[in-house]
Amino acid sequence: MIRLEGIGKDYGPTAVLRGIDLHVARGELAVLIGPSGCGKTTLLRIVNRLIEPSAGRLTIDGRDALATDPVQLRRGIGYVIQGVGLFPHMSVLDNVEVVPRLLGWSAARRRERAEALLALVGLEPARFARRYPKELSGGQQQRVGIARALAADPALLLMDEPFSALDPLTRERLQDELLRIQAQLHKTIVFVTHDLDEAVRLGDRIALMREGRIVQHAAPDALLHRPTDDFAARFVGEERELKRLGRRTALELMRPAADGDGPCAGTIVAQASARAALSRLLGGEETLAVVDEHGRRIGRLTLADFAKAP
Amino acid sequence: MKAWIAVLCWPALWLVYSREDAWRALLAPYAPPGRAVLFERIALTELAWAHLGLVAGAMAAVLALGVPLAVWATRPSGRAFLPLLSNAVAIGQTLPPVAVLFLALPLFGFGARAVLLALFLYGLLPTVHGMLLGLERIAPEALEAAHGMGMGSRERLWRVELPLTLPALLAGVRTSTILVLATATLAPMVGANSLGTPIVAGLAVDNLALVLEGAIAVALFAVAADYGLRVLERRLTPWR
Repeated sequence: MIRLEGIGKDYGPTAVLRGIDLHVARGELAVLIGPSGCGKTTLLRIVNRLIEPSAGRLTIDGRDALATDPVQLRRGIGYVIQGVGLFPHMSVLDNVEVVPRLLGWSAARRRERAEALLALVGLEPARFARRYPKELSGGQQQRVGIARALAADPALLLMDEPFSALDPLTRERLQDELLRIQAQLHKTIVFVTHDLDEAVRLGDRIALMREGRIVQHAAPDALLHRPTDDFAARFVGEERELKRLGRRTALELMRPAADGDGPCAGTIVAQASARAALSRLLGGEETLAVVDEHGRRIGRLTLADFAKAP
Repeated sequence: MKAWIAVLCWPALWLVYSREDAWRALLAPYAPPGRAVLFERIALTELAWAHLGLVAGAMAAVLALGVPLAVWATRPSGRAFLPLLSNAVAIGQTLPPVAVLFLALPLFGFGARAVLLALFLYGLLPTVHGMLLGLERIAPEALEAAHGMGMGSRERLWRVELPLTLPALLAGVRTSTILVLATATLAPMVGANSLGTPIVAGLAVDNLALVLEGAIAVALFAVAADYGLRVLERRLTPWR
């Protein structure tokens, strides 16, 4: 879907990006992560050409994006930013309709689409459509921001630290919403963050960047389990195996139930994260019974099962 | 803040201006014995129309020139002129109103045209200043979003920048209007009638009643204009 080849960006003598090769497949949620100043936002903004690269090729959907009119290109790419950037003088509905209006859709079609999207991001149209942005909470504003980016049904979505200004609870809820929406719509998403937990939670693959280069581009599990160098190891931190458990389920680590199983201290559902299971075992429950959604016992977990996990 | 008050206060104001008997009763104690209590030559309503004409004319010119000027000075093509424009309007403001009036004399001679020019120059600053301030203070996220969503420079200006500048522009317009309205009181010194005519006449013949007649009339005018423009601000920017 997106292919960057040899992308570089210089500001005078300083190189911000150097020889970036990156491929994002259709339907993939790709995360760009790295310390501040690593060039992740610059890289994102090159994709919709808010920044022109100094070198390299950019292909989107098989077409040379550097040869396309940038304004037309941007209308086909959803864009969500940290500050949300809703237009304060427009109602929620008008904000969502901005790109469809630029594309010349009829009023009825715009309206229908905007209301459907508000419902999709969990804002009841009847209650929220006529409000102004300042009448919404930060989390609600970013929901509108996402609806606005999806308005013209772009295949590609760019998100620049969209949740980093939100409180932890709201952030988690919106991360869940994004995953739910993504499971439904299968967009290609490039997501910039500096938060490793967020990257691990959302990303199909994560590109770890440092000083304008991609250090490692891998699935979250591989990035956490096998960092390629010292920097990557330091960046993912000493708790990386715990973070890794966050993406695995109790089901993956359990021993299947057998006839001779004794009583268990507690139960945990199979889809719960392995990290939560470990936490409970460390909390003093010696064995956990793993149950399916009907409450049937399908396996058991002890600390020993974690020691064996690859 | 009620819209109907803002609308109805104007006919009410003219009604007040037309009630000569009431004015006479109010001002009689301040006139020297045996002298005129009201300015006799021209009716107060007529002076009010003249005053309104001066203010409206000057403000129309201020808007017609000031707004495009401020927009141009913040576009890439005019950005080099931004400091010059800011300074020029600021200097215009430091001249005392009487000086501006008399500076306009050699250009247009006595009469309404000289007054209009002076009022226009005087009213330009707050409007241009407000507009520049408003354009500068637009949330960068809104501009970033507009750019990133594929708005061209024209769409950004009309759909995002101008609407978001409106509060600052309207505040500037209100300041300009009050300033112009007050300065128009000096118009009779350059040979044009306004609500200042009784004041100037009263000062010349040492008649406090005439001075009060003009002063009260201008004050009521200013209050009505200020209120009306505030209501307009609320109406045009419900999103604030």
